[in-house]
Amino acid sequence: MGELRQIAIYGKGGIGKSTTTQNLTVGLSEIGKKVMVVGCDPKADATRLLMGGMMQKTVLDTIRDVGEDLELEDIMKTGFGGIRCVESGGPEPGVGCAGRGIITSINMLEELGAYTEDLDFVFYDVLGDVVCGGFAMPIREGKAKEIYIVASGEMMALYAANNISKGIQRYAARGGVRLGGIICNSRNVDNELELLKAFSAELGTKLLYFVPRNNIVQRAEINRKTVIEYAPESDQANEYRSLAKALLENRDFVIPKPMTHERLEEILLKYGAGEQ
Amino acid sequence: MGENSGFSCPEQQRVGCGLGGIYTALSIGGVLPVLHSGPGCIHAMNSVLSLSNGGQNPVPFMELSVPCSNLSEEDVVFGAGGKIRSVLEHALRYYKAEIFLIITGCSAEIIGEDMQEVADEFSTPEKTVLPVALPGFKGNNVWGHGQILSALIDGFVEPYGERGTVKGRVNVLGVVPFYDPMWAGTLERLECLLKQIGLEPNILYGRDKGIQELKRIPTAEFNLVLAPWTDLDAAKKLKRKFGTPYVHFPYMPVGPTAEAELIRVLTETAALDVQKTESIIKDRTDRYFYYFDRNLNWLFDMHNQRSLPREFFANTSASAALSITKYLVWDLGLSPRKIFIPEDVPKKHQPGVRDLFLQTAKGYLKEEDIVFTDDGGLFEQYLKDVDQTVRKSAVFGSIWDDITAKKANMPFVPVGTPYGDNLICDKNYFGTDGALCLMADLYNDAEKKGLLSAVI
Repeated sequence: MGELRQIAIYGKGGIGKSTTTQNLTVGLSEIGKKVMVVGCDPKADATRLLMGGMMQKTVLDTIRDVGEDLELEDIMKTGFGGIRCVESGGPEPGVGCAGRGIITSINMLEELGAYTEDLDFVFYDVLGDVVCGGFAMPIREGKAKEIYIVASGEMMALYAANNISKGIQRYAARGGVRLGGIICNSRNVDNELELLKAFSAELGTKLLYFVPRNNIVQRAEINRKTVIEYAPESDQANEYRSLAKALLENRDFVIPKPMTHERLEEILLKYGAGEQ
Repeated sequence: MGENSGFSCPEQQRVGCGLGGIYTALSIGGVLPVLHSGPGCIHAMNSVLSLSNGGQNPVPFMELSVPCSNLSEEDVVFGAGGKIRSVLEHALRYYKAEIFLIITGCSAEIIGEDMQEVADEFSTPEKTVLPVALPGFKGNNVWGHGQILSALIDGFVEPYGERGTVKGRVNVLGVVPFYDPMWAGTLERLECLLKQIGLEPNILYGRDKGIQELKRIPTAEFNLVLAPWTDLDAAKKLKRKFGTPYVHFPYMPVGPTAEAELIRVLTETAALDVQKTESIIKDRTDRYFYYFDRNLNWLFDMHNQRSLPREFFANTSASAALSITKYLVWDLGLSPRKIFIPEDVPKKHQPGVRDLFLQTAKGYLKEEDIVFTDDGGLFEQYLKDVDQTVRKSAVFGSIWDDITAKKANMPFVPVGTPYGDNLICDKNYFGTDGALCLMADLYNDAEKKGLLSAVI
């Protein structure tokens, strides 16, 4: 067992962070890694595929019902491949403060000793944009030092990735937070691989892996399963296994260099405008 | 805190946070603030504006029994709409009040609690419920006072106020209750004077003041703002809403000169009987000088004459500083050395306030002598670092300055918040009567400190 790697996954809302994270973690568990996934989204759907359905109770639901005097078993469940699953949860839409909720949840996990020594990986699956300090909690001091951004060749996904990099840059200046790379969850847009490579290079990082689009992912999701569980022999399952391997072996951690909006537009025009 | 603070680190706090505005609500009978804030917020305010401010409390028992939702972390995460509804429901049932103000503090404002929705739900024709946001990160208690007044005007005075104009009726604005530690006594004396000269003062705060006074606001012939900058916004709002003109007499009068000026301004504005008001001025001025003259022997005693304070510093609200500057310069013959105003005066009002000091103490003050700050400790620092030749200077400020004055062997008189742990009761320096009291306090402190018995 090596040193615990705490990893935060960011990216535009709906880009496929949770799907990618869950498939990736199953890939890691297949090669014997001990993994915990912490969903940091009030929707609490970051562990659905691992748990075979939505978590019955999130950390915040539990705190709301029984107070802060609770046991780790109350909030952490074991899903497919022995992966430990926690959902932070949050308030109802439109009330309270979801950001503070994430801070409360992660503090609670620490207090209850969820970060056991046998763990190899902790993944934080954070919702869309880093809208306030609470959503940056997973990358604050002492937590995730490794970040991956899920993106696609769509303009808004890249715009969000660039914006998230600004947040990483801020935290990197104060501590050990680094960007490990971009994971492309392909949407089959024109010249996507080249565009993502160029975008990653401009950020000062690399394209860690290009996950091709495959409808089997949607079928597995409808069946509440990761692709590796649903169709272990499929090509897509192997793609996720390869992604897991790429992440496992990755040692390139950088402070990103976010680009100006104008530069981003230039890259899009050069690589993404369909001139093939 | 506030727009002038920058990166300073204020010492010697002389203001509360925005939540301190509730003391204005608590000065109006029949108005109850219901707090949607953390449990400790009100106690911080209670210390600066109440307990250590002349021992004055808005209620006749220990503590400040204001309903509060006691927001906890759980409430911050999930929202506390249910909790504030429950607190408000009980407050409506058990407290004798007609206006209930839901006051949101910092946490509730940061998470965006929607109190307008709650207020609309609970408001009835008999009991008005209004939301007022008073987060400390927006401003201090003087700002909070303005927010309370504004909410009451918009949410109660406008819909339920009386209409028409009553000749001679005048709304008195400019005083910030509790923040001006002498507010209660001052307003009572002012009320007597205004009645004496033939006006019908409508005073909002203090003994027996309440809902009726709020309802009368639109019927005033004019509004009278007795402060350099506070409540000017309220006066403008009342002019917009009800067409009421306002008179800005920029200080609460202390001493015969200021009092006479106020009476003459009001005489002209309200077309009062000049003979009558002049005779009142003469009578009150004569009384002042009757007592003043009785002290001449003491004042001109050889030792005293050579050691009486001749200059002064102020380190307090713009209102208190300007009132005493007027008296000390025009009646008592002291000159101002430097004026510190540690109340975060909004930038838009600063040039006007500065001009008022320059005019009032013409020839004595330069522009840089009027210091706007949020740091109450700046004055002490100034004495330490810049000006070590302060012999014979008096200090007017808050109890914080008592310590500074003692160290520097200077006479001291408290005029601002926090006033101190002693009892203030109805003490005030209003008009000619109050000025005599101020004069006695000043010279008695000098005498008590042994400053008059030796040539220094």
